[in-house]
Amino acid sequence: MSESSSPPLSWRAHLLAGWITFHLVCVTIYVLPYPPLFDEAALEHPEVAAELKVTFENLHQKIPLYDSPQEMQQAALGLARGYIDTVSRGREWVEPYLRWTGSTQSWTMFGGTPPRYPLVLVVEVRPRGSKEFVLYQDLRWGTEDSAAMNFRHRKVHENLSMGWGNMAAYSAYWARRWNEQHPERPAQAVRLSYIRSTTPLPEAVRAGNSERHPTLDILPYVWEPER
Amino acid sequence: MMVRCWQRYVAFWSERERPDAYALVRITFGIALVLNLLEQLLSGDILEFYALPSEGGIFPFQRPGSPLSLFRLFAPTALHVRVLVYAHLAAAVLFTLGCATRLVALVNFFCQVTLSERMPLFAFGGDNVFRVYCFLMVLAPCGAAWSLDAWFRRRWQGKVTRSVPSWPRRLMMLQLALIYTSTGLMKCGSSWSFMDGWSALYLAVNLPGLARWPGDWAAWVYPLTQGGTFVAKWWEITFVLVPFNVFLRRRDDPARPIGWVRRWFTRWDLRGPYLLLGLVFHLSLIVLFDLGLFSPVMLSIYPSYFHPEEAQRWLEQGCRLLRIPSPPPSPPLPAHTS
Repeated sequence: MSESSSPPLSWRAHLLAGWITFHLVCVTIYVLPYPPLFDEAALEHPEVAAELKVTFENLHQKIPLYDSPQEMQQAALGLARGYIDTVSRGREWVEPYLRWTGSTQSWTMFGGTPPRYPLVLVVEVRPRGSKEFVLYQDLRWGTEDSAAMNFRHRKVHENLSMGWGNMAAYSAYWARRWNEQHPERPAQAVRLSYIRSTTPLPEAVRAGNSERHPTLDILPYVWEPER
Repeated sequence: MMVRCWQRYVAFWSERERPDAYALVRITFGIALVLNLLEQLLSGDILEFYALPSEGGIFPFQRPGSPLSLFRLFAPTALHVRVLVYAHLAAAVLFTLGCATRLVALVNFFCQVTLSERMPLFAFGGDNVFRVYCFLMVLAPCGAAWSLDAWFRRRWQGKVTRSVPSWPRRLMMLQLALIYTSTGLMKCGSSWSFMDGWSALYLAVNLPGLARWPGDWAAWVYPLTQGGTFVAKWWEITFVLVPFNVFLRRRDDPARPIGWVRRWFTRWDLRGPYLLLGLVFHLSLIVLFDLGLFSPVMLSIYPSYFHPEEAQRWLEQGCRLLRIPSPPPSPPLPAHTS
């Protein structure tokens, strides 16, 4: 068990306590809840729009502070914008220190709400001499491709679906993988697209309907190697 | 009054303890670090993650934003990436064994920052945990006991480390609480509350790829998933109470009177229920989701919540299981340490 120090505290002890406090304040400011995106485009995203609709309709029903769910939503978004501006300024202030200590961090695991309409990446390749794309990576549950994929690629798929990262580089990677497996039919083009499915309600599943209504989402990205 | 409060605060951060808890954290965190690197090496993906596209990588290289990244000094060629990952693995093994502990902790820290900076698109929560804790391991006297360093010191210099500073371990405890509490606060969406019927866990086990199996099974145990959602959210949010409970429960002078709030708050040791629930939570994550080493690294930090005597018992038990002789127990603390 720890024990208290009885001798007088040295200047080093004061300095240490000051630095520890500074470190904890910096980390605490940096980990305050902070959405990765908060602009008009993000608010119109189907997943976000659905979440806002469900939240404010239910909230308005239980606590009718405003005349309509829409009014309530506008007021809450105004508050959220103020909070985000303040936190953003705080993060800018502490970030240089945290970068020097390798301690930048954000913990958003299943934050907000887990997607109701999850996305799955589909990789298709058009081999040389063919006019049609053929399915190359079927990443739905239970497929061999899905089982063989390193879990970190799922994070790439998520980031790419939000417009972060380089689709061309990821397509070139799949073209390279295809060419290694099919040297006689190298890839002329790679198409990346996302299938959006709907998570069925538990009552529907229990009633025997677990259909997920897969639909093509987001315009497919087509990549062709430079000649 | 202010001066007295500050003096007590400084005294709190100046406290010392036996080094056994550090040893247990070093071993568990070191094993998690080794497993994380082996997972990448065995899956054959290290060049894809880190190297230049012309050398087997996927994404183009940009000058690292972190001032600590070693890729500011040399480009991530296939050779450099291999050397870096194997050096990191060697340092992680040495760290686990407690050999040149402070030096290899520093190597681990630089390697981890460099690699995680190169793979922002691939990085999982687990990678962030490794990076943040590698910094704390540099600060901590992890090699003071149950280590090759301690063995060499005892054998050649006849010295035994009796006490080490408590503050690095307390920082580890607070960091873990910050991770859980901030994650819990982020769970502010409707599915984490009554507004959408506590459906978050049900939705999560229906995420293709992340969940190991199609989530239809969860519909048949829906009330259980609702209960899991409620417990997980509030366990995370309130985890911040645990370090304060631990700090307030330590008393140098049991005869000194304390207020009723402190007496009530410290009546129970919160570590038991919270860490046990954490164990169940992370084991469930391992079974249900493909999240790599996230759960193992989180669990590897739990021993930072153990008191040194408890850690010593666990270490002795481990030695008995592995049939290796345990070193002589750490001597009791001197009367006054500063």
